[in-house]
Amino acid sequence: MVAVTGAPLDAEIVVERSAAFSLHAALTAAAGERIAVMGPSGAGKSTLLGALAGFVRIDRGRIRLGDDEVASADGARPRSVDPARRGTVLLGQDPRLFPHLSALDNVAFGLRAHGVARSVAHGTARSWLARVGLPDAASRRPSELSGGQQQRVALARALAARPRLVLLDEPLTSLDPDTADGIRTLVQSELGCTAVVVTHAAVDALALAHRLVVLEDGRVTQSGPVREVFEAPATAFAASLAGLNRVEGALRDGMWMSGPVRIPGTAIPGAAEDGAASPGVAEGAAVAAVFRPDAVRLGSPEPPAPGAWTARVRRLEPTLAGVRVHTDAPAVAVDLPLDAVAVFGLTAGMEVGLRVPAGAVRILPA
Amino acid sequence: MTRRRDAGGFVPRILALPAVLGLALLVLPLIALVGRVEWGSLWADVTAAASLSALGLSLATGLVATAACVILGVPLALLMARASSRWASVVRALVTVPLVLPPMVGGVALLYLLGRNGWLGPALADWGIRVPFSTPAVVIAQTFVALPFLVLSVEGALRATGTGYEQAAAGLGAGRWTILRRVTLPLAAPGLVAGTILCFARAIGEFGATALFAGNAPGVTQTMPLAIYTAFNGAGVTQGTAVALSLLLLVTAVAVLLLVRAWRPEAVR
Repeated sequence: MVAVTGAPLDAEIVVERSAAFSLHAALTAAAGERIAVMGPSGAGKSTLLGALAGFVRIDRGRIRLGDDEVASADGARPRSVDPARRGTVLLGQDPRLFPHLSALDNVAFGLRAHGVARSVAHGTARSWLARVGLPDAASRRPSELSGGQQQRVALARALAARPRLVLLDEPLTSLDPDTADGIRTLVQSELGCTAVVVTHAAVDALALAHRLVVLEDGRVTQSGPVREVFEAPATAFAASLAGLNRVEGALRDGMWMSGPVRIPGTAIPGAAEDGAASPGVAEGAAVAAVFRPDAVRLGSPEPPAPGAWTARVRRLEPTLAGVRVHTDAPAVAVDLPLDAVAVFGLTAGMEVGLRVPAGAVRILPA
Repeated sequence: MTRRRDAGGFVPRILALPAVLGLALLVLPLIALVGRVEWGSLWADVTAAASLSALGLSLATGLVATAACVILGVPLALLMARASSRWASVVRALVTVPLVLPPMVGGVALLYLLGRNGWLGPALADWGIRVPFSTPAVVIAQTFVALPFLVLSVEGALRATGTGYEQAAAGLGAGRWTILRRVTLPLAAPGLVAGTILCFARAIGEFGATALFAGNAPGVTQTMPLAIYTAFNGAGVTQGTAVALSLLLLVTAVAVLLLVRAWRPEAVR
């Protein structure tokens, strides 16, 4: 197991870019803890990383790394430490290795920029190249390396500089699945530093991070241990990240309902019948029903089966296992094997009957 | 894969006629010049006292002017390349003016800035400095006309590289001078070398501004172009020497073109 390095992070970031966009986010991490940040496009993830790195000025709030306040905008004098002196390092989709330097010189760059003697820097660089699985690449130029190899060298370069905080901006997105897998394993085993990882893939969040922060429209909508967020998503977007359906409604007369949708057999939480439900929810209170797309049963709309509702097919999306049928009002996704499309003659715009067994549903506070 | 002869695109064939005339206009005079050279006395012509003085002066002032262009032009190019595009456009327009300005006009302008009755003239005279019609004036005139070549070439190379690598370097802890030394300049090197070579060629070929601002005193301000002009007006060096010096300048121009083109494939990184 690699040593825990890096500084604890305590940040409250407010950036007001324009009337249309503002970011208000609070982020904390213990030393060595890795936080994943996920959100739709335009949510403010890159702005958040930019503020942590020092490329984006914050309008209010402060950022503390360990004992140092590297940026503050509360009160009279806003100050911001230069990116070069913050001890943060940013690694994006593009490895941005210096094309005129060898892999070894690239990895040694941060050390030499801090005044480390050349031979010592080269020695450290060599050991880092070995740690990322490229012991023979020292004298090669970036143009002679594959995309995955370049990302490994970029990672070695970032970590060799002994940063206090590592910022990863979707580092696996531009890689093919096998290469991405290699880098994911590498990050898991070698990254002992405090890190903030922006990603759009749930598998990356699960593999790389301890905690997850969901950012939507410039605000944090949910945060907590990764697994917990995925099991109990608080918003529709968080549910989509986890691959779950989430519909808001209310519990009434022993049934969960939302508009035309009814799921009989769901009882007030605490009672025996349904799956894991959270306690302390009163009758009639707003709750959300969370269930997997493959738990939904599809039937013909007439005659309506007990507990079924009628929905309209919005679109069909091919998946690895078959087809995901997106329906409307409420928005529910249904996973079906490929032959079901033919059996039911599914097309966009047609009506179908859907039902979900109560046993597959979890009730969460809305 | 077999290569098929291209039909020459869709250009009307009659256009070959003016095209050949244009090419002839460019090439024939140079061939005539080379033909006029007296190869037998070439070495003697070039090493005649007056000729050597012009040659030496051209080289010396050209090198000093090129150095001045690098010292002044690289910082200017750096600031232009990293400025907002609005400011950069304004500055770029200003920098491009000497490229299209008739060099003689440049000479007149320098006279009105640094001459005895010019803007800064009286102040300089108080310190005992008289600029026009001196060797430093040659350097100033050459720098004036050659600086845009360097600035635009380096700025182009810097813009093409972009700021991504510099940001990566900053993120790794490099301060501004380190970034300049280890990232920005090495990556802009092809543009810098090409710009410097072009700059030197332009400087030693400068005539109009030099003639007006620095004058035509042999040994002091009579550079190669001025010596050639004077010879063809019936004074100074012999015509044979003038032709020999012209050949020298022509060879320099061709050499510059070859050198600059030799660097170009790497500049497109």
